[in-house]
Amino acid sequence: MRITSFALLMLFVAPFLAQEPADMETKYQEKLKKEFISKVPWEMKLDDAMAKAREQKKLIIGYFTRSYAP
Amino acid sequence: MEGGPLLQDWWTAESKNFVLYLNITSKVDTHPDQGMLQKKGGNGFPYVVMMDSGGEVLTTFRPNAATDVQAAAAKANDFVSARDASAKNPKDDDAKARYLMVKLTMKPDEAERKALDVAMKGKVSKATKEKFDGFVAGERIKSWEQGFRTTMRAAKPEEREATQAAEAVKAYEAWKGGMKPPTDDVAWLNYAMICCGGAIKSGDKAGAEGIVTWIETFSVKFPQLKDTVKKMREDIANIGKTETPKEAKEAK
Repeated sequence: MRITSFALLMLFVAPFLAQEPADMETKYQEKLKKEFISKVPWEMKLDDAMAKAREQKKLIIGYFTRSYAP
Repeated sequence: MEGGPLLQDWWTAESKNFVLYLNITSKVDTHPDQGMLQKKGGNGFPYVVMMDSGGEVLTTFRPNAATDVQAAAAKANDFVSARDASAKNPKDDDAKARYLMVKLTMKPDEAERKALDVAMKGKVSKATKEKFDGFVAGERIKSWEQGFRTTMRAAKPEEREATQAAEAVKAYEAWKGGMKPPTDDVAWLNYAMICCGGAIKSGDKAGAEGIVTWIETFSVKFPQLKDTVKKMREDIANIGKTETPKEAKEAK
């Protein structure tokens, strides 16, 4: 029973454990190539976005996404 | 979102009115702003917020259409102008009350709710009093919704329909007594639909029609509501008849 549970757990967890930093970097770089990113000018650092918002007297739209998983 | 709305022309046009900040959680510490999601109150993806130039989250939203962005911006601007007005005149009860109402709508806080009552006892305009009445009505509706959910959860499956009908009649009585949606906001839609059911059950044609008309305004944004509105109108038309179509069907 315990072995079955462990095997099932590993089935779900293993793909995430297997992600090496290099995989993460590749996925991040792939994410940066997505069309929604190139279509409009994004700031990648909040400090830069805040400085620009102060200068242009605009609100900031923050879009939070991930690259490590689909 | 990334393969849909954010690729559309309306997004390109609308987003020019804002500074756009992209945060990608990558689990690589050297990438910019890792951990920012949690700092800004997010716990899932995608998480979309409107922030002021100080990085304070003013509202969250889903940009599925230009109107979603515009509505979020209106909400955020209301907050910023109320906050700035209150900061400029710290002794002005009217400005303070308006700021607290906007703030509490976004995030409830017991101490600030008490501060609002104190400010409302000060020198405030008629418009602010009216806004406060709407705010209190909103609070009552939210509290009613909580009670309604608890009651429905406690009801046995075979009692649910009767329980909901009884609760709807009570809700409609409260509606007539002034517990009406304070704003044309989709947040009150569920309550209005229950009240409409209560009005129909109570045999109040005019009252039910008034609520359906309010509900119908949302069918532009939510076309699936058209069927619900149609069904409600059929039920209204059947008010006063000896048996509802459902009862007639059951009798057969």
